[in-house]
Amino acid sequence: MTGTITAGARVLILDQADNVAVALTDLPRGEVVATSGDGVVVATVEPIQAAHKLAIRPIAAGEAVIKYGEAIGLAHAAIAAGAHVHIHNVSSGRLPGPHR
Amino acid sequence: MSELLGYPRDSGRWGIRNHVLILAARAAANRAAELIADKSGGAIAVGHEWEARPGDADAELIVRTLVGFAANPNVGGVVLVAATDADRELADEIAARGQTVETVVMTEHGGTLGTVDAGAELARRLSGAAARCRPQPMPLTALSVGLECGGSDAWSGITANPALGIASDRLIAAGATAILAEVPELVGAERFLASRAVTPDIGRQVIALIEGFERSVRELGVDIRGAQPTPGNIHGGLTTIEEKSLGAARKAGTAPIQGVLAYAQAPSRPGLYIMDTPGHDIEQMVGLVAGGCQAIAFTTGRGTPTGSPIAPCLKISTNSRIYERMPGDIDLDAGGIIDGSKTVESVGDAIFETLLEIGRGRRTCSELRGNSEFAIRRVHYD
Amino acid sequence: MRSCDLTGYPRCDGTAGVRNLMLVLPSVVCATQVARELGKAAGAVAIVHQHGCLHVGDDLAHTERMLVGAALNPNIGAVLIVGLGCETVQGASLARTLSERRPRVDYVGIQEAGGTAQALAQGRAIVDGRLAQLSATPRVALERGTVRVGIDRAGDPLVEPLREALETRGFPTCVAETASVGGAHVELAAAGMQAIVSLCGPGEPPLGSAICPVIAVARDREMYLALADDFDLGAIEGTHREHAQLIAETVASVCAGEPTAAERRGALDFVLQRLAVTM
Repeated sequence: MTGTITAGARVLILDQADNVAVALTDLPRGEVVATSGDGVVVATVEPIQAAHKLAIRPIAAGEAVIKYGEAIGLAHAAIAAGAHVHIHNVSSGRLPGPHR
Repeated sequence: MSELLGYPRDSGRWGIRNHVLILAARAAANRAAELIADKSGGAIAVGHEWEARPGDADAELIVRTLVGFAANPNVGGVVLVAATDADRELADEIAARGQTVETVVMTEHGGTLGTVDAGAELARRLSGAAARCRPQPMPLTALSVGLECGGSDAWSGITANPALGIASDRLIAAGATAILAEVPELVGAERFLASRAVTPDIGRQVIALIEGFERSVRELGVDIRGAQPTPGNIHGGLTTIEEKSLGAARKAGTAPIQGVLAYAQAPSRPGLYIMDTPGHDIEQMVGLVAGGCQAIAFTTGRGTPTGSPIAPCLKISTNSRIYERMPGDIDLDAGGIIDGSKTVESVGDAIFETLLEIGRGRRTCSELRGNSEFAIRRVHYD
Repeated sequence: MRSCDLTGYPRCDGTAGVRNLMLVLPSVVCATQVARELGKAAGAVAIVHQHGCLHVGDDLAHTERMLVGAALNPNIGAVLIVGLGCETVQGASLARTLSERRPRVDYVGIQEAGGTAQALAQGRAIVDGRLAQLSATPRVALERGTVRVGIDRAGDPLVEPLREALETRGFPTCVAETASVGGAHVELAAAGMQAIVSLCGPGEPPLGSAICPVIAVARDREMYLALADDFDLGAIEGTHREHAQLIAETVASVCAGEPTAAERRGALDFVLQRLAVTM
């Protein structure tokens, strides 16, 4: 389940298995965000709109995108850490779309 | 105080509202129903697109929906506006559910305009009887709340839906009922939900329900995007149906799932259920109300003003921007969770308390605006 | 019937309406309450429906075609599209498509406007402005053949004599029969018919239409007697030829401005047939 968002937090990682974080506010390019616990930091490689996702680890083409600890789709292109994750690089793993 | 104020009905159920409903039996009676309600000061007309043609493969589903809707305990009495004598069957079925129903038949009055006076007289009689029914202390165990989301964005699964889940858990703990729906928006969340079923068989039913929908979409062979997720969902950060579903499933908190309901089916025991409805906001809402929900708790990210003609719809915004942008359409804001000024728990408690207030008579934005959307569900297409 | 008896409202695409409606058309069910309120203005006509969201494939294309067709019907003098903002059938895009074909197309988006109250305020100003423009438009003489009449039944033996009677009077005809009568009316309106003859059988009460005057003809004695006020004509005794003549004459006066039974009672039906289940 969702963790508590503390005042001033810029991103939210919903589950420790996730490979994406949710921007809690509009993030500019080059903002450094911490991934929980493991000491790895990621810098955004492009602006990320509030509520949208950024990759916190590189995601290979064909790899599952994990949010809420579950697969929310498949990357149909390689995604760099810190990149915007959305319809331009992710498709549903379950229902038909333009890339299936 | 955790009691509500409601109206006990002959059916043994309780309403938290006391409406007089003017229901069109078929589309040809819509105008008569509208004119009767106009003349009846306070009665609510509901019309729809069902023509009641012979041989309609969805007739049983639609009749069951109209009957369940009319029998909702928020309705103190129904005037059924029948076009012909053939429509009387609908009134019989409504009466069989313990609902007070009067029928006016257009063919007995020469057409629409002649029906209005007779219908308005029936409505006035029902309103008089309803006015004599005073609200009484109502146990929380008699409350059934539909859990809905519409115009979702990526905040939905982070703020309003988990907060609603907390409120849902409190309802269940108090012995009330909550119903989760919109099967297309559970694709990806089926294992998460099935693991909470009270028996393995119900777990299998949950999975079958969701995978069945998935299969039917593959058979259609269409690109579902634009429908699921919608353009608004996508703009709001939701990328796939799975992401939307995992967020949507959070509306139902952590309580065990007692069973799977057919569209418009009322559960026979309190608890948390999943109902087979589409994601369509209004088809879903009608199914929930026809299944006995006296209130709808509705989270929204993009903002939508919709409501039910006969049930209060508590609108909860996922973000403060939409709460401020659409005053008069949103009742409660979960957006404080995003900047940490509120917690999911505190908003969840606020939702629960607001539902109790609604159950004691507090009007929602949708009621004050008179939002009364209605839709019939169809499943048969060749 | 002389061609100078035919009057109406010419449109910029060569068609002409027999009505000059201010149509308030919601692109999605969530915008229907606002549309309904705006439709209460005298002279405005609002469509209330349950569609516009969560359609896929052919069903989506069909619904979009029907909504576009309704708004482009020659009877429509001005159209206000009301959208929500997040829906599958995007109201703004619908309005853009329409404004490429017609003048007097406006759009209000509920989310964009800032909610219901704002959308109503914006919508009322637009509707009032357009109604003033429309009321200043007179009826003018139309060329024979400009006004087309739809018939909502294929199998009735009255159809062929009726088509002949109408075409002799200078009304081209089109027949459409679908599983739902209301659905046929929507198809005929989208195909550009300016009036519809509805042939109602046993046990079938008549529907009106938000877009076209519907001349409701009872083909069943029982229904005609029981719902006399809701029908324009009964075609029960007598020959097909006699019925066809009488219906055609009624069509002509309706096109000249005589209100139908449906218009008198305000039946603004719009039954959109779907091709697939809602998501």
